[in-house]
Amino acid sequence: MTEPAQPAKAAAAPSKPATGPLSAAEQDQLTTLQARQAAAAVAAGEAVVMKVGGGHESITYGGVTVTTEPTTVPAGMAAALVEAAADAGVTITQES
Amino acid sequence: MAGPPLVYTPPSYTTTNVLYGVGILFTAIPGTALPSDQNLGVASAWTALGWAYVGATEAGVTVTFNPSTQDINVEEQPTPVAVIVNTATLQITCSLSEETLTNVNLAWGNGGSVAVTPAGAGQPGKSVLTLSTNFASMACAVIGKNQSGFARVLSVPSVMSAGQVQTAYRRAAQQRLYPLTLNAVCPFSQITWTDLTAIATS
Repeated sequence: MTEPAQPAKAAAAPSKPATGPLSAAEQDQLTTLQARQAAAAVAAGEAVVMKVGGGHESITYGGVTVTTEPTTVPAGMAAALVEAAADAGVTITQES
Repeated sequence: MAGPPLVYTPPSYTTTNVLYGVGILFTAIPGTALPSDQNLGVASAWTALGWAYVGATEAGVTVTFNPSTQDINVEEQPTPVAVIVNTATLQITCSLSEETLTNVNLAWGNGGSVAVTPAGAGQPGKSVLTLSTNFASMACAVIGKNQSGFARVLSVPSVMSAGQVQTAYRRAAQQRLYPLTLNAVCPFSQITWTDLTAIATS
């Protein structure tokens, strides 16, 4: 006697959307995706890379924080950031 | 012989539609994406995308829509034949209770910058807010809980902070407050309310 073929459970069970805080793995994945998105934005001219120096740790303007590490910034905010940095006596450089 | 009885049957109302509870105000640079529908009520999903929570407020968040109208009148009729919207403002206001340089800047037009200097030899660590009248626009969102217990989100893609800010330094009467007035500066068609109504079916 042959039994009817059972559908594969994995294929039949729909994946349930995750809820709650991100796990460490998900956070890593998100960080990777955001880095990829930022690189694509720079390549497309929608963003630029800036960093601060001259003894300062960071400058925040309009919700954007530029640190001593290369930081991706929306291209439309670059000029305003340079002006704000000049007003605050902060050295800021644009790398791309 | 008397006619049918006169009956008075008012419509029923829905008490569960009467909502209350705080609104959560987030701001971000214009163009910042909203969380996915599934995560609209998850705070960490907002902050992960770059949204900043303004923190505690004195009396919650208030949303004020204020259209001014122009009546179109004709001599032959005492009431207007049409009422046209002349101007309309949308304001999101609250009094910020958390005195951080970020919040001070937010209330004072969001035009300043905060420069951070790390502690070093002979140099204490410090943050300096340098003010400016070049107010920067931002996006904002107000999240509340709807009658289903899910998130209801008011999203305004572009607002500017412009309001009178008066802060009282009192010994014990109250905390120092920073009134925040966010004025919508985008077309009304870009402002949305999103109401989560049911969980996904799979």
